[in-house]
Amino acid sequence: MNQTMLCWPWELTYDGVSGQPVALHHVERGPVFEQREPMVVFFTGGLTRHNDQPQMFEIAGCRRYGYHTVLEGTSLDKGDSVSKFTLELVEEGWGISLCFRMELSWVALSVTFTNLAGTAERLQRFQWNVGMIDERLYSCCELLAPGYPPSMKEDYRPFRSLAEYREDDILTEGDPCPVGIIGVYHRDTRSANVSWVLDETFYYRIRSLRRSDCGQLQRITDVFCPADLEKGQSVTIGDMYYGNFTGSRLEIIREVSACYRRYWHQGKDVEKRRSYMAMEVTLGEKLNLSPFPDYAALEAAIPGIRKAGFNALQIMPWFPYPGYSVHDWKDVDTTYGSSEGLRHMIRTAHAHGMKVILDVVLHGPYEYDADVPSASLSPFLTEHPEWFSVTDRGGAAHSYTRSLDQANPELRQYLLEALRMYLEEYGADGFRFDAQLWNIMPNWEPQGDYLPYAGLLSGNTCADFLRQELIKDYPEVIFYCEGRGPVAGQAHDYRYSYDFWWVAWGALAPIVDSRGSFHVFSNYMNENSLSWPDFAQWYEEEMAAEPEGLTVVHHIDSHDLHEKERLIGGRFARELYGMEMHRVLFGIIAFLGDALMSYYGAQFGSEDFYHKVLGLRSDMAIFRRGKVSCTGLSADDGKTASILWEYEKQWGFYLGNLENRDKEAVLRWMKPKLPEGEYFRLKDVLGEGGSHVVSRRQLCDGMGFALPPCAAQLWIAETVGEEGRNR
Amino acid sequence: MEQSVVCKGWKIDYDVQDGMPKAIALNGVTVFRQQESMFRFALDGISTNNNHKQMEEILGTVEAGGESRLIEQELNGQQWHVWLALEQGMELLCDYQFYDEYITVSLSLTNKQEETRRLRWLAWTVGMPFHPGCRVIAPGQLPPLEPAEYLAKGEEGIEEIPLIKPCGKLAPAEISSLCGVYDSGTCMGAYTKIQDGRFSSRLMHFSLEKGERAVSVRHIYCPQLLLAEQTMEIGPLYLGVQQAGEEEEIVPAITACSLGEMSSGESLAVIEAGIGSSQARAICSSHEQLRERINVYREAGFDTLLLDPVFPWPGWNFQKPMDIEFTYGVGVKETIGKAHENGMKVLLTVSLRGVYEFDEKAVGLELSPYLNGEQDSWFMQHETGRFARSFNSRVFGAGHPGFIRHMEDVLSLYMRELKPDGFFLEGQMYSAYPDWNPEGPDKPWEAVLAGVALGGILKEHLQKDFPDILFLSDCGCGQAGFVPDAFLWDGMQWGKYGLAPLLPKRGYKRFHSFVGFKELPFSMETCHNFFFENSLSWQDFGRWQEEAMLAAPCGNLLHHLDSGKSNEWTWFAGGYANENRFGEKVHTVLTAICLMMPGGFLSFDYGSLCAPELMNGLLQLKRTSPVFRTGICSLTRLCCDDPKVAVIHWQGKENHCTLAANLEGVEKVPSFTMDGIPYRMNGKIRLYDGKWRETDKLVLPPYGIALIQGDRG
Repeated sequence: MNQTMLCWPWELTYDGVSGQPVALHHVERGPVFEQREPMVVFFTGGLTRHNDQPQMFEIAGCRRYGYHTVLEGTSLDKGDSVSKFTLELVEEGWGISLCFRMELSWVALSVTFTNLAGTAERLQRFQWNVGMIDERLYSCCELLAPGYPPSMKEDYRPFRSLAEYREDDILTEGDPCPVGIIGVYHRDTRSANVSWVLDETFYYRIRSLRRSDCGQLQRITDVFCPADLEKGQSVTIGDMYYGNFTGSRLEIIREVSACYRRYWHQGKDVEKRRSYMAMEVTLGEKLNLSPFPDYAALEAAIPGIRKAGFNALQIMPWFPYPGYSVHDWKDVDTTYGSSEGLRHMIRTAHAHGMKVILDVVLHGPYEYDADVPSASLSPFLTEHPEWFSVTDRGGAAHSYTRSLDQANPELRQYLLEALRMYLEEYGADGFRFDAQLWNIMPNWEPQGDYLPYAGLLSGNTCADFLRQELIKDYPEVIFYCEGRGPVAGQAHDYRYSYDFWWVAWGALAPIVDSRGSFHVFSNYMNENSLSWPDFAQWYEEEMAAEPEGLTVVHHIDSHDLHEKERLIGGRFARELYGMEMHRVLFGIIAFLGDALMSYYGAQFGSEDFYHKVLGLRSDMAIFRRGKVSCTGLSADDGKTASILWEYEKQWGFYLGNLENRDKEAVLRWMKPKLPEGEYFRLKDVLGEGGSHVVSRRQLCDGMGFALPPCAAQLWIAETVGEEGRNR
Repeated sequence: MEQSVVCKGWKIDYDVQDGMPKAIALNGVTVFRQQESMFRFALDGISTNNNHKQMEEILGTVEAGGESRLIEQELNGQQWHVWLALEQGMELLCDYQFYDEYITVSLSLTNKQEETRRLRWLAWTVGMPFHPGCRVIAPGQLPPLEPAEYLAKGEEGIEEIPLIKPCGKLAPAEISSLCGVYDSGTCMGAYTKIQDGRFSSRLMHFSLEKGERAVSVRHIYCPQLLLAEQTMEIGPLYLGVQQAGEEEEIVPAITACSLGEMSSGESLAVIEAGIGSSQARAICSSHEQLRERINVYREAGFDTLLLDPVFPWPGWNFQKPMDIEFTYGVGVKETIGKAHENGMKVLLTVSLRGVYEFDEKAVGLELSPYLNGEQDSWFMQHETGRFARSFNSRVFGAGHPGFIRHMEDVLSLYMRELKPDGFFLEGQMYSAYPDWNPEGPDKPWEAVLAGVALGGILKEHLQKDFPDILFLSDCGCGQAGFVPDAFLWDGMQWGKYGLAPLLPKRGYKRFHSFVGFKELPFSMETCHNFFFENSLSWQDFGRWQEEAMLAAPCGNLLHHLDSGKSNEWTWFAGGYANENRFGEKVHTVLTAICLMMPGGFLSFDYGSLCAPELMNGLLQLKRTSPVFRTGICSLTRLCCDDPKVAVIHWQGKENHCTLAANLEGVEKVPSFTMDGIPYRMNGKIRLYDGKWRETDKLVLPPYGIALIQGDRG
């Protein structure tokens, strides 16, 4: 029999026997969740199948709990400002405490598991289940999931109704939650039920968002919390949040994201952040390519890279060894090929006004001669076996390297000394941490005062530590991460943009390379199926959920894109899309308003274009300090990209033809406030669009533009009077 | 409502609404029980990627067969004809033919609508009663690699327990397609199989449902555009029953009655080698160096050299095969000559995969002349209209007459110029998917096994001038009209992980999200996990191996532990030989097991050879002792009291030869039973623990290998 707890403005209903939450309502806004499955299902015991990177995700033989709970008691703590309601449940030797913190805008849930049995038990993970919406509402509701790429099993229409998906799985198991916000947006009422997570310690990963057999959309999130609990010992995990919000999609995302504010690293001013335009370079030999066999060759190329408009170099570790392996960060000759070469190159780069960022691999060393039979192995393997994670079967944990535990205090100290050395002795300007969260696995024998699960997000916490130490002496040091989400925003200035891949790999433009696309990110179902308005909306929603101060480094070409095609030999995006379309796409990432990077070689054949684009970005105040909107202008066809820029009284826009055909595009101003002035002379400062004058009225009614195939144009507006119009 | 049709002791209960069988009984015993439609066709959809899985990974298919409607049925003598109306405007005629011990079903699917439909596959679902007294019949399929309590049941509340681990389209188990259940109570085995060599099929699931029914789902790939009124015929499919007094007799009984004779070739002892650098290793950088190693191969007992193309380029690439030195290296002719001088045969590896479309491994080298446009019709076409691809290659349509003639020319050239003794057709099933080119010579589905069929065509063509020519294959044994002379057998490729522990320090990469290698049938990903590692007893493995060999019969299996492929499949770990995985001693024991199996043996020159003295000893023995020619080999009849002692017993009329190999690092004094009776072996005992020596007592040192030869058991 159901019981109800009212704690204004929230009404929580739970089963009086099992204690399972049944429903949460906001008394004014309506339902937030309705559970048809237990809210928390947890797994204990079991063993990992393989000693490899996903070892934590593939545990076999777990016992499952959560379906046979019994309510032991409830408690309501009416604090000064926030009330807490707790459901105390038990099931077969486990105590499960569900604590709901009733805040004004949302409800936060933390879960405590207590081992009540006579022996130690191993907790592995739990599933956080949220019954989001009844199937009767599918046709008028959309998915609200900022930052999540759409399902690979559908054509890319991110804003279709929930009834229109071909597959029941709307989102499937995959990358960790970018920011963890998942909701259902009701078109008619302009409201959304939203759930999200915020936790510095435990690892959350969406298992599914599914139109389930029980007639509702269900969110299932795996929360990994590996821990051995002695009798009576507890672990508390959370918070997980629920809310019901009203407004536009963007407004709701911004309101939810406010929850993360305490993690936002207040970064440098916007102009400085945007000014990072890096060229990634590999030294040595990779995929049979040796663009820079030594530092002298790179130094010779620096003037050209600078001339193309880049103001930073990102130096990968020496290839083929150590490559994506750790040797010894203090052994510069091995790690970056040549200590003297590196030192001299950094001086030369600085002389050309370029910063130098070092790519630092963190996850661990090869244990065998994978790619270079003659390479010596890392001294860490023999000298510091205690720095590595240990599996649940004993012995060192592996991915393709042996896995370092970045929570280890000694390891962190050693890494700190190495990074300090690069700053002090070599003049490096900062670091990009490669695959920071690659070792998503517990260390079952931690060498210090921390628990196995401390290793899960240790890539982030290690960076926090390093930054706090280095910034004392090097306040300008750049920290650049591969991590995502609010917690990553704490320690880093920049983040790599993996989330952009699904677009870069064939969603916006046709693939012309006969080799096709890389199957992980694209397939024939969705290739070239994304319209610009859908992308623009998706992108702005993603950015609305981004931590402030964590600047995204956009790219079309990177070592990853080049390398993920390893099976087909590696390639640049210009091969994938064709030279002209590649320029259109590069223009898009250049004018999205954040930092950018490229991979050496991608610019070949487009050097002038790069030079122009990056020059305009650097020189014009509107791009240095202005506001950008991908939805501020609307074109009358889905394959015309438009990015609006505004700065004080100046405005302009990037226009890209995502098709290889001539067309006429009609653009309309979509923002509520029109620019000042009656007439505007528009001039294409990038392409060959020429110039023409449009009236204020035309901004609303539509401005026609002739776009040649794969055109990339940058129109800057100048306010003119009647006289200027006539001229 | 159900009705029945009865014929020759069989009774089929069928639903009068949907016309699908609900239960099939023989002499009153229910052997098949259906809760779902037996025949469901997948139509339309999009092949999501132009890669090696393009036939199987189809999104957005619609189904025909899940909700059928009976139009008419007629029992005519021993034939029962059933006409069904299916969804999507399809009509299905099921022709059941009754025999004493089996029923065959031939299917004819007709598109009754104007619109052309794209047929993908038939999902053939069969349920069989299952209770604790039952065992699975799935020879050659891998068992689940985890103990039952660790399987899906429980964790997700799923009430299906996998009975096997389906191992993919390249697996030998798919040749026989046998799948069934033996009931020890009735002493009856119910089984299914396909007797239609035109199609590729794959067992997708074989699971225990709610503890009472074993359900198999097999996809039979029959890709075809079905025009209005066009019919696709599939079958016959077999639903059989076989009596067997003991459970271990069921697979021999079924295979004896249902599988045809296969070719018997000669036993080969093959060493695979080549020049150049593969996996960042160069074993021999030139033919001069390779020629130096021929004596080593010969002294290790090998009688055949399998010569791979030059690596890394052209590698598995049909770049410009008419350029012999480009393909096999400068000096290949002299190498073959030297091998012949040393009494060795030479087989050339010829890759049928296709051509790289770009300079993956050798920057700056020109692309294949096949890409100049003149031979465009030789290449397969993906349904998008692009050239079909697989990994890094544009793939040939092996059924295209122009390509077939060209292959005949290529192999004839090799025979004339190099005088090898035969060929290993590599990658025959590499592009096992349809050719959707509507102007092509074949129907789309005919391309699926065209690579296998090509082997038969080439063999027939070359035998006219070279009657003794040998063809080695790694797939397609008996399929599509191709009967190779030797067949690479992979039993140890999974069994080794269960028989012995891996060296702990070495780990391996598993980029399962990025690369489709996890599907390779005998890759480490498929065959290994911690639950399975070293958990297999010799008796269980021996039983599996014997049944698997029965189900994929071939005159001459080539057992192997190390091969170029096994080395390469661990590419992401840098490529390494089994010696590095298991350690030298275990590797030697596993090699001895392979050597003593019935049939031939293949190894790979990975820079050293595993215990050449051991190999030479066993290979010479197999070559000279009559027991290996006329005796019967059993891996299970002679039982050791220790599950980690491998026993391979060859029994002749007058003599025996038995291998006992210790898979563990402790000394053992094994005792044996045969047919449950204590068995004492007489004869000469030779022991290998680094070198051969004679001994009086059968005491197996750690990882010791004993060979016992006597006049009787």
